[in-house]
Amino acid sequence: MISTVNVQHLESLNDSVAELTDIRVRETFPDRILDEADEVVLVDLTPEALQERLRAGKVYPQERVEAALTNFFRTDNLSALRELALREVAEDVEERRQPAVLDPLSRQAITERVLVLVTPEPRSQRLLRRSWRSAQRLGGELDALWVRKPGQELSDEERTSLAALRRLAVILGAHFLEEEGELVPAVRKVAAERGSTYVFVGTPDESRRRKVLRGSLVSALVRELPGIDIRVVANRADRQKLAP
Amino acid sequence: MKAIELILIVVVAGLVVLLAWPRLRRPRRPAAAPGARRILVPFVGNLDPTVLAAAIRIARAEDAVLVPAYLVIVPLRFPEESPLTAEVQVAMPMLEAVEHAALGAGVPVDARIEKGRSPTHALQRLWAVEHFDRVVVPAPTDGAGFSPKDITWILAHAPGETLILRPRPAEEAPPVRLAG
Repeated sequence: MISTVNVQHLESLNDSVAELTDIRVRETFPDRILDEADEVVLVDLTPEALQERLRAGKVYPQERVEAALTNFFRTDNLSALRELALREVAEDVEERRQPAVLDPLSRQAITERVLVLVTPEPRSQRLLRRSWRSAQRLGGELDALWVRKPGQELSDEERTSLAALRRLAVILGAHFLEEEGELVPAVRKVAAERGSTYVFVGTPDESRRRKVLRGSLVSALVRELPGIDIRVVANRADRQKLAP
Repeated sequence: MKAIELILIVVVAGLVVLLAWPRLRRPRRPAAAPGARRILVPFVGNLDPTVLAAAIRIARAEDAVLVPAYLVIVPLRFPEESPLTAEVQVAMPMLEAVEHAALGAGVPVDARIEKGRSPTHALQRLWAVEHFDRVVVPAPTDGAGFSPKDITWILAHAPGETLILRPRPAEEAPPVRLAG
């Protein structure tokens, strides 16, 4: 079966189309239909060519042409919708490049997922950004986790930092998670739930006393997260102190 | 003092030094004092090294935290809360360089990426949730960065003292080391 659709009817694009055109399209179809298609082909036309077809009566009857040209079929609307369509098809092609023969287990095995441990302090901004860059290179999703100690009260500075981390997570398209409890068991639980393959931590600021009494955080993570890569993200500005 | 007491004192002192030694050797990160002043340096696209160097000097003189904020503009075709990966790819190395320069100069830094429909909208969002004592803004240059209209708006609405810094023309500007 072959069918044609206009991009503005795709359900997931409904909000974008409304913002672009100030017109809420009511007739939508689920994205699933497009996902299940054997092949998606873009029928591309410049806004000017489409307006020409409209004027020639090839889209609507003549009496509706003028109104259409001044409303939905304006050049800026058509240009924006054209861009949407191009992007949508490009994403579809990219998704189809994934080997179709992989069973779900194999797919899970090759999919990377990064979990970064953040705390409400300024350096976590950098940690979250660096983790995001690594996740991008790995082609994986990013989860940011803050583990609140039981009964922990936050200072004003910490509250500000936490809110800023949440905003950054939204901008990066990362998932911000919050757990309460002991750090390592909480990380273990979240890593198992989310299918994390990497855990990123900032350089731990631990005293020798803590290490002697409770063991180092990194050792504990290596021990408690078998099969998961642990990466300690350093502060690059410290490199200048390496000079002999 | 008995010999055993002397030995005990020596052992305890040795333990204290042993436990404290790695901490003493660890490179110190510039840390902000609680309630330290916060200096916002918002920028769009690029931050002139002369402006950055001036902002770092001011922050150091005032024992303040430098808050460089990269402002991302969300095009109208995207919902306001959509992730902006392409724009953030550009922002990342900029913020890394700014942080590197500030930390290298011993100034604590707390960088931000903020978004909005326009530079002033992004600033408005940031000011709504965070406190700043001073704002250091690069003056408009050849169509890049803030527009004169933005600067007027900032002067009228900034939550603290505002300093507009004019980047030096390229031929006058001395080489500025970003990496401290």
